[in-house]
Amino acid sequence: MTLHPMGIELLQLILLPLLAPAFVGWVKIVKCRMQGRTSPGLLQPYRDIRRLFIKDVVLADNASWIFRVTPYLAFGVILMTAGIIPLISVDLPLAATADIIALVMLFAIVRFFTALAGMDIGTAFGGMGSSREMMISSLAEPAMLMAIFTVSLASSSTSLTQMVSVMANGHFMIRPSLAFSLIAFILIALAETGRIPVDNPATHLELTMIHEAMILEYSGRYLALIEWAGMMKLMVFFSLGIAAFLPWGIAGSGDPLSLLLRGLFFVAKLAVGGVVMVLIETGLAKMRIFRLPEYLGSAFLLATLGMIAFFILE
Amino acid sequence: MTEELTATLPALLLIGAASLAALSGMPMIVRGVNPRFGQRCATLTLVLAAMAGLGGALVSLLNRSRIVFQLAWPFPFGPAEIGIDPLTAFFSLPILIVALCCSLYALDYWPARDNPRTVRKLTLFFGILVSSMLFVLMARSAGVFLLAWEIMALAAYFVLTTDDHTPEVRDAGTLYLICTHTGTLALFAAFALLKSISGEFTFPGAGSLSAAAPLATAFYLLVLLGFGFKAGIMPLHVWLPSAHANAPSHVSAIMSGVILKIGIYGLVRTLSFFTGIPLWWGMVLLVLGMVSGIAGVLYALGQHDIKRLLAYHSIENIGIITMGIGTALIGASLGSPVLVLLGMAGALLHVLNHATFKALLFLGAGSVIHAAGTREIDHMGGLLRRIPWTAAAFLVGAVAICGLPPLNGFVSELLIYLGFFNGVIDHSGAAAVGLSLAAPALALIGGLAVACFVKVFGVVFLGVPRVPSATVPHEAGGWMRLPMMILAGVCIVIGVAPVAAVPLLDAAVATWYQGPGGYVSLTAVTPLPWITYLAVGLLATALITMLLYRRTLGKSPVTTSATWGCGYLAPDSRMQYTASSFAGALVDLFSGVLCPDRHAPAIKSPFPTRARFESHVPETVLERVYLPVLARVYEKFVPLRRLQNGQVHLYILYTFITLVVLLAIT
Repeated sequence: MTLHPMGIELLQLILLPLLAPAFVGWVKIVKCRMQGRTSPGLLQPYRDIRRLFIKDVVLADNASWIFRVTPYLAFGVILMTAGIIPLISVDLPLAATADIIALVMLFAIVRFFTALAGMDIGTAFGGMGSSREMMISSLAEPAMLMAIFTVSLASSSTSLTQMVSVMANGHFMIRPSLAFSLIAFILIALAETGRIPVDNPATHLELTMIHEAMILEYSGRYLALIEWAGMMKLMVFFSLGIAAFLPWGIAGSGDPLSLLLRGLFFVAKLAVGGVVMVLIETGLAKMRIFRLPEYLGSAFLLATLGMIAFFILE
Repeated sequence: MTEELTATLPALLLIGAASLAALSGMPMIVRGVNPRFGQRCATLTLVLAAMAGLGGALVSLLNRSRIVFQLAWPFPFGPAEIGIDPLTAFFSLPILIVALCCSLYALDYWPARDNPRTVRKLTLFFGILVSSMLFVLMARSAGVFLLAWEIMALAAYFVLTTDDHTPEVRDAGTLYLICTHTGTLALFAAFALLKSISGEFTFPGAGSLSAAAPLATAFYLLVLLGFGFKAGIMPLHVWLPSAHANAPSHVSAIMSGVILKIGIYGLVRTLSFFTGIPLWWGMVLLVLGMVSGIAGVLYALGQHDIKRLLAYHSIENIGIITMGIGTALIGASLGSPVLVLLGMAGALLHVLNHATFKALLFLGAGSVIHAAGTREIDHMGGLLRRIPWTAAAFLVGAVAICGLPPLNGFVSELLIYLGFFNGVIDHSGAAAVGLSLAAPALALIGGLAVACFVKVFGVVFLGVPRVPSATVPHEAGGWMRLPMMILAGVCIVIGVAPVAAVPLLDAAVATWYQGPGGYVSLTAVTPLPWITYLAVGLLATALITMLLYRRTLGKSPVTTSATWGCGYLAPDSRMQYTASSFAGALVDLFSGVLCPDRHAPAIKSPFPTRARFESHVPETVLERVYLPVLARVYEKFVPLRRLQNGQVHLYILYTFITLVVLLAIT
């Protein structure tokens, strides 16, 4: 018995929003262990989301429809990316609707509207958060594209499923270009998902906030959706990294047992990835915001090195 | 017979439209005609002409018909030919769409009753401008081309300086006139060279000249200079920001949306003559495109005059188009039809897209200026509630210009990205390196454009008003809203169903490239249908989430209260981020390129007094490069100025001597 591709697609679309809070909970557990604290447990993010959904919304007086629509839009678009990135199968009907360039643009839409929502309420914080987020993302975007470009060169396609199949089925070979792109990708993923050393997701200290400053005025279900979308975005970036750099075990047949096994394998890779991120976050301090261009510049340089390595060595 | 008719009829329709457009403003010359009646009459004529022209252009594009008419021409530089082919028809689409929308917009934006002094001139030259642009596209020989080109340049000058009582407008007009004529001078030289390469003043067919000819390189550099001035390729863009900022908004829309594209057309047309194009031709255009794109968007970030800002975005988009043309040229020199197709189709589609969304943005800016009474975005804020229609239209334009799905800017940028990608995969050496660096450059342009439009939309439409205005801002009138809705509709249609544009692009690119490798269709190399799925998916996502919200969650209560200001109870609208503070970090980062002017007070005592901070990004290329060099040149030429002493009889003598010398030579 095999599952219809549409069924797998649906499975992915359900898996991502359900798993994303657990992944964030896992990251928190590991982080607490590392820093000698007691963790709130794997389920805390679910409880947070539930609590926020129950609470009433308090809106700023001068919030317009942009402010109200943005949480839904962000959630919906990030959910869409879950159908595009191959998590447990390459046989995805929706994956054919977007390649890697479109994926980058989808993240840009979310950012565009979130930044507008930050400007909407007319405080200094919102504008500050939007301005900083825009500075970081506009510099991260070229590096991101360069890194992913190098990976897609190795498989001669910008389609994600194509990239996964070619990489996973081809002969294993050590590719220096991929090593450089991987480092660049990690640097950019940390910046794009707002983790240390770029931004601190746990801070509410006004002067250091970036992402949090933008969404400061959200409350209740709006905040729940934004937070949930943020968790999904973190997991999507990890999935993208896994699909691009560790694609083994994604492609396969559609029978349920094999799907389950591949699902477990995917979760294991995700868990290891989370530990790596915690190591980085615990080992580094948050950077001053004015040094971020250097950080993103180095990411771009590494990605370019990857591209050069591809031309010279492969 | 019928076949001939189907080819001739659309062509005649387009020529008729061009002629009708020229006549549209003529009643205004007659003194007795009531300007209000004249304006309505001109608009009606222009709308009819545009509709007829659009029909003709679409039919002849779909039929891929080529037709040339020879005119009687008893003068030198002949023979005079005008013709229609897919390239002409394609470029006439944006002209006709934008002209239609702008002429409707003028009814409420520049109404005859409020502007009795200027409306006659504006209406008359607007029609002539539209007509001359169409004739530039149809010209098939150097004489006709230059004649139409010059009429276009002068008509543009007159509509640009509509408000000629203001010194800034006159200065902007003079700068424009100097630049456009420098460009035209280069074109005169270029067409003289063309005559000595091909032996004729008529335009040779596509791919009929060898680029290896010794004069071909000089020809290439001259057309780059001549058309580059018109298109606003950096560093030839110096006239553009002040001209676009000081013209009436619908004129800015037509200048930015269409006149710049005539420069691009000239480049595309003249480059089509050649075969065996060397690699460096394409590389030069690619690099110029990257420079224009990145520098254009950076300068835009630093502006706080809404129209100047949009003008710099035009330079950015011209950069993107130039990158596409560069890719196509690289493809032509490497003999790769796929690369040619992706680059050229991306560039041409971006020509159409930029015309629609930039016209939309300029028209939106016009109604913002009407509503707020200023061009300074730092004085605006919270306009979304006051002018919701304009805000919605402007948002569509902003999303489109940022190249985000599901709107049209995304489609053309995606084609150009795919062009870079294919070039890097299939080729090696300098071409691959250039193309692989162009991809992140385009991504940087996109990222900065998103930042810039968050700034514009956020500061102008969101938040609360920064300066208490004397009057309550009012929504634009119906004649201003309708064209904005039409243009927004075009943006959405091309974004959701790009497949509809494929036959048009295929026809235009096939006309341009007749080199080796045959011709592939766009549908074969690009995943265009999936853009539709993606766009539909995005729209569906937005709708479903909204519906879910209405059904279930939307019923729980919402309380409104004051914005959280860390416990501070008297927040002020001046505490909001302004456009300058929003862009501050990025402007600082690139201050080496931008050279911002900054007047910041120094804090000397523990109790600082009242202070004033100002920052402003000037037109650095003009002020730091052109003006000092020109001042130096001017000094050196002082002795020569004795020749020009203002006595007419001496000038007549000069003319006479020149004629005698010319007679002696020939």
